[in-house]
Amino acid sequence: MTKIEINDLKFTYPGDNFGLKIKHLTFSEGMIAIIGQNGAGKSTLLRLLSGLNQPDSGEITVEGQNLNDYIGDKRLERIGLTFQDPNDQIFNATVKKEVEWGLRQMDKSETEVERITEEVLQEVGLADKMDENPYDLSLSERKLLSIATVVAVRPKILLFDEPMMSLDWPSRKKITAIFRYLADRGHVVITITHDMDWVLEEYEDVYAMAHGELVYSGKTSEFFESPSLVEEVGVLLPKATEVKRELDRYLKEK
Amino acid sequence: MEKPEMMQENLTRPWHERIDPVTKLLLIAVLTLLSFVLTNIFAEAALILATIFLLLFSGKLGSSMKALGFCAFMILTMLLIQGLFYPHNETLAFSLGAIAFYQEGLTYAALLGCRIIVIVLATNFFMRTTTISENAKYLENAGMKYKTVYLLMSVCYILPQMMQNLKKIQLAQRARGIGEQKSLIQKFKTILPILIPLVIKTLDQSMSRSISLQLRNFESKKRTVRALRRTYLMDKMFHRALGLTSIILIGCKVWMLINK
Amino acid sequence: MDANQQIVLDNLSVRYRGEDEEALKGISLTAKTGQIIGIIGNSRSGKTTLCDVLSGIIPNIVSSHVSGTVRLGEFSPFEAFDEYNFHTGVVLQNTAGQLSGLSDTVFDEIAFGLINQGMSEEEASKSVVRAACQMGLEDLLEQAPDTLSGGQTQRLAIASEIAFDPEFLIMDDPTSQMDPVGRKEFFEWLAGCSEKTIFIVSNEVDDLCEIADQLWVLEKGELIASGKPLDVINQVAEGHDLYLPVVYRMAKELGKKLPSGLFPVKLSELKGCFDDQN
Repeated sequence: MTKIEINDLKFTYPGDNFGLKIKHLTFSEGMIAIIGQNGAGKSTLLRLLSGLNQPDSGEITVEGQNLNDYIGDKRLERIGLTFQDPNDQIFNATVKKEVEWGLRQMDKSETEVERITEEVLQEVGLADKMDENPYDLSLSERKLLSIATVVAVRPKILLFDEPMMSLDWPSRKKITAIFRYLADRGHVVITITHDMDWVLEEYEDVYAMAHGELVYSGKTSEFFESPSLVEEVGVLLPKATEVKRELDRYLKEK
Repeated sequence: MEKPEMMQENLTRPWHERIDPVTKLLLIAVLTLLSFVLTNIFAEAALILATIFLLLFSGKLGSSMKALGFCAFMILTMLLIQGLFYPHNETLAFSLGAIAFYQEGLTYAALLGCRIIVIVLATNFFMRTTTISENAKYLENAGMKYKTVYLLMSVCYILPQMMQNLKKIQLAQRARGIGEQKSLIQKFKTILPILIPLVIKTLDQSMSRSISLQLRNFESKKRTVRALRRTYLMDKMFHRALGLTSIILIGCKVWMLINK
Repeated sequence: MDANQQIVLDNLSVRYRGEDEEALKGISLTAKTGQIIGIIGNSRSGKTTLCDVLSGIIPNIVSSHVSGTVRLGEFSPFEAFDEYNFHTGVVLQNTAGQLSGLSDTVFDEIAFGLINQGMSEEEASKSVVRAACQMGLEDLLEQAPDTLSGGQTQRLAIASEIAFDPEFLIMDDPTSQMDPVGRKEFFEWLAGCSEKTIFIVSNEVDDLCEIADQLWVLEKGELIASGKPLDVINQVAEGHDLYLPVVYRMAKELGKKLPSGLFPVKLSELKGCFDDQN
């Protein structure tokens, strides 16, 4: 069972007074949502979880092993990360090559690389753009591509920074299905998102951050039932909850 | 906008900010030309020392070290190749086993190396003590057309922009499994396949920037020339002196080539 | 209606160079100026292309095969582009690419367009501060543009465009990188923009239904619906894989219809459904 544990984590960007401070936190298999305002430290946490940045103090362990040891020289199989801006992620000449790039770093046969690439591009709906230059794609298609590159190699832990950003409705449904599929097969899928309705609908548990600290971890429904928590974290209620509430209030007044 | 604190700033600004961009550009030209006119290794070393002092006194030495590190790699390769294969090699300097290094080649490479260091450091002084908008404003005030200013600036800053993109791509590569590359050859190997995408990415950025600049009327004839918030030390005099020095140095070099 | 207060698209088609299929196929519609027009549709529906035509990028800066007419009030991007450009503000999808790259501070960036139009520095300064306050950037004026977060960069791009007070504002997904509170503030500001004509492409259909006067729905380059959000959403609810607003879905679940037989798309309309039963 893949279990991530964080203890007494502290991190500050050099030359910046913004710091991340997390006393204790555990993630286990399944779909996990991290919410909070811009600048709350969500992306920084994701960076630390990916091992791209090292904490100043404290430790992140996976399955009881220190994160760096866990990653070792098997980063691809262990941890995948997508950045918020897909433009920062893409560096190959065609859509197909972009997905194949990761697969080729692993010991996979040529036929397998081809099969997986096609399958994943089919799943995210980019199969007909296979030979195009990633820079000719629309922003949302590039976002889908960056997700596909990570999903293709099936790492144990997947980290997504706002994967739904600028995606249309059919793509959102596809991505949700992919996340669900991976979560059901023992992967840890950690997602930063601003879409509260999606969180309420798809995530049983939620992690909320504010000012570099973890403010809440627990049941999603309980989080949104506490007005003080929602305010502290600086998010909004899901639209569905908001509309229901407004309606109830209106009917009561009558 | 002329804000009171901006006026104050003029008096308390460090010396390197009180020298105008064109003077700094001419300084690069003079230092570069000087390094080509000089043929003595000690004179070159003195020149390097001078540029180092320039950076030291402007507090930018630390941030220029990275550029020097990159130079070191180039210079080492040059020393190696010229030390071994320079056509005028005669005097044996030292030998490592069966490999012989010659004095002439090493001196020649060292001379070239010094010139590279001078140019890199002088350019660094310019880049680190000016900002794009300061340069742009100054040139526009000097009467250059804004479109020309913009083109000039985009050429000057294309390398830093590409470096930034390269960094991003390298981070993306690390995120996707390529470990920290220790040896230079390994580094080179990971950079090679991304050169084309790097150029495409940078071009793509320039494209969208140029679209947006056109939308924002940057070629408009009505454009207000913004007043310089800063006053500069004796800029006219510096320009004349440095311009004249450059011409003299070019003359020297040409004369040296003719009399060779 | 006065022709100068009309938006007219007539049989507008666009085909990119080197492509066989048209990105926009014969779009025709008319609307009044001074409205907020939400443009929605799935990926590859032609939203961004339409924005590029409305902003004049196509065909004036990026050449393409364009046919048909586009007219915003008395201006047309196909005729006198400079004049047209003077009256339109544009926020591109790629906001980071929209910044001039020639400014050290947020202040200078917002002032860029104003200075280009020949405004004096004092006058520009006032407009900059006004625009920055509207976008909540007043505390960031001295900061460097490249240190801003994605959401802040989007607000900067919007501020830079509203600073010169254009009659027409065209925005392509301007809130994609904002957090929920930032997005809410933006739509509240938008709702208060009464005198401008605003075209906004967005995936935030719930917000658009609340504040937009018109919705245009594109699908594979064709206009499949246009009109009031209430009519449009009810029209496209079946048979198209589009996001439907929460209010609409809830009303349908509760079986609450308006007297017209349509399901409401706005909170106030939904409340109204309960009044009718008393």
